[in-house]
Amino acid sequence: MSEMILDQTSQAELNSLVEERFGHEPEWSLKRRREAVHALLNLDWPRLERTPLKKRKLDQIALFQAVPAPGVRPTPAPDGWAEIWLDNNQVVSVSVPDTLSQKGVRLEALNEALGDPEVEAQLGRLLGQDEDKVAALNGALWQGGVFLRVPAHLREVVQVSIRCHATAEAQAVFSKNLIICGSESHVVVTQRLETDDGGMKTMLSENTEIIVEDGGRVDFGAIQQCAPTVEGFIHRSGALGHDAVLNWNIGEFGSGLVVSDHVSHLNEPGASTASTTVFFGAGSQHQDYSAKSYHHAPHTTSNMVARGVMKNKARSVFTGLTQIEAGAKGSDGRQKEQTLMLSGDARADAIPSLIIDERDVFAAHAASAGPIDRAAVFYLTSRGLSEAEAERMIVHGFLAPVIDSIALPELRDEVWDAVERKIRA
Amino acid sequence: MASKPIVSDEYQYGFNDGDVGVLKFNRGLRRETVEEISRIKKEPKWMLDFRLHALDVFMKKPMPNWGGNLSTLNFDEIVYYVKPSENQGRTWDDVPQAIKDTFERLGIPEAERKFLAGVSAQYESEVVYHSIRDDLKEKGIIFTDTDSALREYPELFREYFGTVIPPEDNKFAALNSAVWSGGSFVYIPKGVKTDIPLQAYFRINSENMGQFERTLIIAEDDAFGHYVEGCTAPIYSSESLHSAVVEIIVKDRARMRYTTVQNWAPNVYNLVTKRAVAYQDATMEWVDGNIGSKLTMKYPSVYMVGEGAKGMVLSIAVAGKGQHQDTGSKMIHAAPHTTSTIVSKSISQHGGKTTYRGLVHFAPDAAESKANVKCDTLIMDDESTSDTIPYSEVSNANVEMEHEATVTKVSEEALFYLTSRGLSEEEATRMIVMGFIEPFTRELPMEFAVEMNRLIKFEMEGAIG
Repeated sequence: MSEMILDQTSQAELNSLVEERFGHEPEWSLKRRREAVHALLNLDWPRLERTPLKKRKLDQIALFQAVPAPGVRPTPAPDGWAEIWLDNNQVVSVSVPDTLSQKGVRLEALNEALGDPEVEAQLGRLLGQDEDKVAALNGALWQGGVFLRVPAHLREVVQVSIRCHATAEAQAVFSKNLIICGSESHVVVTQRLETDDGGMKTMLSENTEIIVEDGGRVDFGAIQQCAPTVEGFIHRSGALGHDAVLNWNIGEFGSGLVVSDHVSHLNEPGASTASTTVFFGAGSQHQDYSAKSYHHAPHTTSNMVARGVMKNKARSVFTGLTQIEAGAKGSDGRQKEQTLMLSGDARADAIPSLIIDERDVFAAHAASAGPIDRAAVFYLTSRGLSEAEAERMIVHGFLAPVIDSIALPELRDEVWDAVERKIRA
Repeated sequence: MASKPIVSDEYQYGFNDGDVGVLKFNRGLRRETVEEISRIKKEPKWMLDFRLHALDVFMKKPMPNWGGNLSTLNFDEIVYYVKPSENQGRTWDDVPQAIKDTFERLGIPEAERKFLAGVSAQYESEVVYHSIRDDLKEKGIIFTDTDSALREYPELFREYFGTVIPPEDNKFAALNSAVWSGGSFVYIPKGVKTDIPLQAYFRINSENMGQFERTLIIAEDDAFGHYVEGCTAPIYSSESLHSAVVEIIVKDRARMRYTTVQNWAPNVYNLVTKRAVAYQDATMEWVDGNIGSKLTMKYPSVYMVGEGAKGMVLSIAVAGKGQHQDTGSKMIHAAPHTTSTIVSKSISQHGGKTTYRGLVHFAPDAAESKANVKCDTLIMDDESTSDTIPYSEVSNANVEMEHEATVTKVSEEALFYLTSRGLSEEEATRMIVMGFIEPFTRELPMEFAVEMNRLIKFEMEGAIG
């Protein structure tokens, strides 16, 4: 069995595929897969207000393959970093510096950590498998993924690099990641999503759940540079304990279609989250992003910033949501979304919502969209720059405040490179 | 914090006059209901056809699944037509005594004497009194009720009626199109300017009454007009429905301002469609105050279809106990060099909920257009809530869109500052709230601003802790 197309596959075939491929997994995991196969029948594709999926023929994409991984990549991880490589849904290499593994830091393939009771207890708590067809497909057929466990009270910052790659033959990339940061520890994660362009459509479904225990801090950076043939569904959700911190730095550049969201549940007093999203739409890309902060407890703070550049016929939707529940006194929630329009054929929608059920709070949002400042272009060209060069500088100036706030130097440089490629494309 | 409301929750206009109507339909909506309304009004066939088509659309369209809670709204319980008197009064003496007393209590004749160019008073389904100053009539201004307009100006009427808001637009526009009765018809000829407002007043009296007035305003090239409207209803334990449609056409270089202060009783569903089309260099301004009702869903909009058109919405929403004000605005930029401004101020108190829901849309043709949206909300106590849901859609690279919103409580620093200068907390809070809504009251005609201040009455002795 090398590939299965969803609309040509019966439930019985899916069931036997699950038994055949995942029969060795612990019973609880296998049970969830069977439930997801069952749920698939009654579920629809995600219903997105502004991103119709009907015409994208998602059910004609192969949903399971056994494509061999091309083997270990040579690039070494930066000094002191732990690194895990996934290729075509399989973990192909893991390296954890001794200094970290001796202190109990675990970085491993999620499939191999399923016997751990903590994984059983935590996996799927933030991202369920019965919301829609993509969630159920991921639940039934996920193959690769990462489990990262950082114990409590580590003094040094744990740095982890996750690299996910797929070759052009891979048509289905379904993965799950679980990150648990112990109390008072600090972990930095960078995730890179890349695929080769081979002309065939690929469905990518990537679920990441992050648990930050009391006083812990996670800086999660991700850059997505998949091929235009990718139809991507990237969901990330974090749960924060007392005084915990979760920072998101998201750079979104690739994929033909991408539905990407990150959610922070501020569950305990003092929890805080900051997020920056940089996106650049070109060609005929369709991008649907959301950033959400739920203030469930008093004295929680959130600050979400997004900046996007749109060119050619690209289409973007950015939905921000700041929800402050009754009783979450003294909370502070802010959003800012700005879009620079380089082309009249592009379209950018923004929906920055505030849902406030508590009086004693501060909540604010600001959104703007506008063209390149022609006066600035005139000024720069009168000083001898070409028009293209002038526009490039203005785009740089627009994105700099957000990209330069990315705490991780490696990621920052990669985001700049991606921007540069998009400008020139 | 506040044990007494900042803005008075007391509804002053909750009295009723008993049943004064001369003809009242049974509850519920059927094809015969629509036919009967049309027959009583002796309407031409095309209007009956329009109504019946709209009824089909209404029956087919699902209830909106967004906005406020409509689950307790029962269309079968509503009385769709009540005729309050046999004839429309041209002088105040012609109006039946009971109705006259009501409007006297509401201060209508007094307001008319003082400063209005014309006044129209609608009671239940029909306009009971109408007058317009002779000098304005001589200039060619038409200000009459919508039913008379259909009879007296059939061609003009038919040219514009239903062109801005077709029945297919939404379920409640379809309902209004099927059973509409009353409302105002305003026509301002080319180049004519009125510096004093035309006013209409809408009053629901019967229990379970549905009021479906239909207003059509046409401002020809270079005209200027200001239309003012107020609404009240008695308090009953069961629901009434107010579902109006307001269509406004503002032609080249004309300017139209529409001011509403809606103070419905807390048992009224207020589900209104208001839309204007602005042509070249025309200006449309909505000044919209929503103080009462159980649920208001109202989003005055401006379709800027001519180059250089301008749209403005200035709104205030106050939601008290059990109330939900789901309001906002839609600005559609469909031509180059168009500009729009939305300023929205919301106050929620005593468990009330305010929602700002808005849209700014830039079509591909909207080069060099600009939009500016500012929404501010004050939450006065721990039971009250607020949502802000702004949509923006940009399909042109050469436009500027700015949006800002805040949700806060009354600033403790400002309170501290003012009380340290010798003001009591009550006075300080009042000053802060008045400052918050000042951009709105500033735009009201004088008498309306006074009325507004009466509505936003401060009863705060010992209320702030």
